[in-house]
Amino acid sequence: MLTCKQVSKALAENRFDDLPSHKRMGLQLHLKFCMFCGKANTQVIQLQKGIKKMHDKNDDELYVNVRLSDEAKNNIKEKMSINSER
Amino acid sequence: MNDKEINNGPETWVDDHGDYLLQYAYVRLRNSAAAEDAVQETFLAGYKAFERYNGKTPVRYWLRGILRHKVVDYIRKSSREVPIDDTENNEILDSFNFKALGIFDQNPPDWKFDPEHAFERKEFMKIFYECISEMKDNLAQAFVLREIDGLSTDEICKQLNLTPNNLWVILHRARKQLKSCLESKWTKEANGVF
Repeated sequence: MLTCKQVSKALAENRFDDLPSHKRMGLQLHLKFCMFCGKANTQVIQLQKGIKKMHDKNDDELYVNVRLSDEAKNNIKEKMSINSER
Repeated sequence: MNDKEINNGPETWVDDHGDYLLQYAYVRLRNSAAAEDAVQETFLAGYKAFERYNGKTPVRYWLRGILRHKVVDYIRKSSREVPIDDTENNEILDSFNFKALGIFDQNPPDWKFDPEHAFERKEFMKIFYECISEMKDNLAQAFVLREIDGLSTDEICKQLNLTPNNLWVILHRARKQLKSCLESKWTKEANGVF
């Protein structure tokens, strides 16, 4: 069975979902029986799963309040049109 | 993104995708001017490469792929200019407590809410990005590259000019800070709503 340190290291080096299936199984087994490590690392995995869920939705919603100003948009359009004339 | 915007020609790109791409760049670069530059370069590069676009993915995600490279280049260049101080990191690494046989000697507090379900809520996503924006640059960049973009340890260390131990510590801090920020803000929001 993996030690807590090995589990932490595996999760530090890879996202849970990116680990090969045999490692994921080993980790799950460890997390099931190890109370302390289980909690610390399960929290990392929960966060990663939540983010993955959001990512998989390919959500285009704008969550950050930043927008291109009209000036910036016109500037880019102008540069694109100059490029098209070349 | 509506159907009309999926694969429109370059003349409508800036209006259709400009804000989306700016947000993508801003979350990673945390600097409006740099994010705008990256978006502008992306549109110009996309325009030049449009002949090679095969239409298999919506144009927005094709442009986002180009932007991703621009963002990583920018981060790589700016990270080279920042010297790494390992002293503090080593202290934190020492504070990861493992008993004999590599057993964890910590009992972290439970989440105050279910993070997997919270990510399905739009209000939560706003708070999530708000919390990321409150992190220090190096924490936020490492966290986003790792947990949102899915880069490997090797890639992130290369881009951010870090050692794997630095990265481990940085991610540990980022998650800890994010957890506490999410708990505080989301609990407040949830109490206000329900």
